[in-house]
Amino acid sequence: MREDNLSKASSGATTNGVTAVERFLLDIIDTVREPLLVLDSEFRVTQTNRAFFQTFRVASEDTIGEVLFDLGDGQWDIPPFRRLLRDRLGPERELYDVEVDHVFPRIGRKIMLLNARLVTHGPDVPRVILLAIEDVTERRLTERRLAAQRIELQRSNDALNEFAFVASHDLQEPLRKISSFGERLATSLGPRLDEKSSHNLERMLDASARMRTLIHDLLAYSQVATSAEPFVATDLAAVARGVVADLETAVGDAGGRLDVGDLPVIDADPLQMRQLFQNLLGNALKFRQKDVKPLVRLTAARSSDGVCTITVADNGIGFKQEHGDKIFRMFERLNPRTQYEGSGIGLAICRKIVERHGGTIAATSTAGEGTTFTVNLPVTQAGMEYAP
Amino acid sequence: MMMQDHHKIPITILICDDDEDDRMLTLQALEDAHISNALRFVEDGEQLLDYLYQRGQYAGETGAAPRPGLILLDLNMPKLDGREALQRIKGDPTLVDIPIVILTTSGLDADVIRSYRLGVNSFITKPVTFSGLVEAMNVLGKYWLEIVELPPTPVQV
Repeated sequence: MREDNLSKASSGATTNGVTAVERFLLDIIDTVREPLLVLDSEFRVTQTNRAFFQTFRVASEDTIGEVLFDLGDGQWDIPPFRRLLRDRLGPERELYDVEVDHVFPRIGRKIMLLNARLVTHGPDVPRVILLAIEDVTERRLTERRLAAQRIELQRSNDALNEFAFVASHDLQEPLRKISSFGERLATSLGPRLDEKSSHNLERMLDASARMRTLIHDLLAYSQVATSAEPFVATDLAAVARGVVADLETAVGDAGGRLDVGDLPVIDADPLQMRQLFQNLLGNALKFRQKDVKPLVRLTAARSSDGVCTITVADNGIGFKQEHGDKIFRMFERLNPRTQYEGSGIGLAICRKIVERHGGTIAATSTAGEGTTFTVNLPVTQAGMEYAP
Repeated sequence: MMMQDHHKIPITILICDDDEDDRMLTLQALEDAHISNALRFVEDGEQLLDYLYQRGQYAGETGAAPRPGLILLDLNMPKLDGREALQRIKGDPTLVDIPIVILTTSGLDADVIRSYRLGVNSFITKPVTFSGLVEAMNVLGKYWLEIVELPPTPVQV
């Protein structure tokens, strides 16, 4: 029966038997993973395939010979389908990637991508309609869900950045007053205060200065996203020279040395690269061993797969490797504040900068011997307009 | 010489800041910087304009609102903010010659650029420490009260 339909429909062959070519065509239709319908000029289904039965959960006997729009109690009587087949296919003859979103009473919502073709073999031969249906429900719903999530994520990221910026900005105000009035108090009362009170006032002022550093660094952290500049070709050697010049005094005072190897040009945000180098090199100098001259090496290598690997190696105090991840977390510090100043945000800023550039940062260390920071950054940035 | 003459008349400094703490800190910093000029305070842009135009609470005798020789202006204030007030003052030919120094916590580039475009004479971001503020007032006093030539104060109508 099916063979008869196809032979009439496809080639208009007059033989009753099924030729090898026809058999081959039928096998192709049945093997194709997408639902496929062959309709006559009255929209009666003359042929269909396994995928159609599976996708739309119908049986062969309810389908073949029936008018498409009457199938399954008229559940295929979909206005876009009618327009497509009745009105557009005649004049256009071929239609591609027409998307139809429909809720079927029995099988629920289906988003379908259709290709249709009107096949004519001559004036006397009845016309045939080929209709290929791809079920893209899953894909479309996933895409939409992802798009919605992306928007939501962007929104919450923006809100978070804005919060950090506003909070740190507004926190500075009362703090400035605490330290200003405190300072004023220390000046006016200073000589008259007993030792204990004077010590307490000093501690209060120290704490507010520390708070200022924290807020300042928190602001810097949030600005990695809020004040991001577009990526441009950035000469890391020039960036490093600027940073080294800034650190010259610190290096000299410590009697140490800062070696810089050849550095490439990569697509990056120059100000953030400067901040990255400043933090990494400054860090390496800060955590030096007592009585050991600090030796810091900044080197880079470009791999064949478009990655620039930057390493900053020092002979400082190092840390236990188990803390390798911890050090990049906000406010995390491994050493007492009394020994090494700082807010514990520097390396978190480094990581945020590197991640914005689509790179990675890691540290390997041996306590008492030194630390090596390894930063992998893409040499080129696609589109050069990466929104943070 | 003219230049010698109007230096002898000490100018009034008008400070416009909505924050009481900041007004107090500015006052103390000016004192510490040994600036003994007459100081007047207003608390927002509206009051500033009322003062300059001698209207509202400043209507009547000139003594209540002597024309300032220098205005220290905060940017972020309720009602009429500093940006708006600056624009109005610099847009009025009768007030345009009063030097205005922005003294604000905002260090935003946009604020700096906009203020200069509107014709501000200096822009100072409030230092975070009191000693920094005293230092700023010192320099400000030296510059605006000793070094520069200011336009002679017009006769009040």
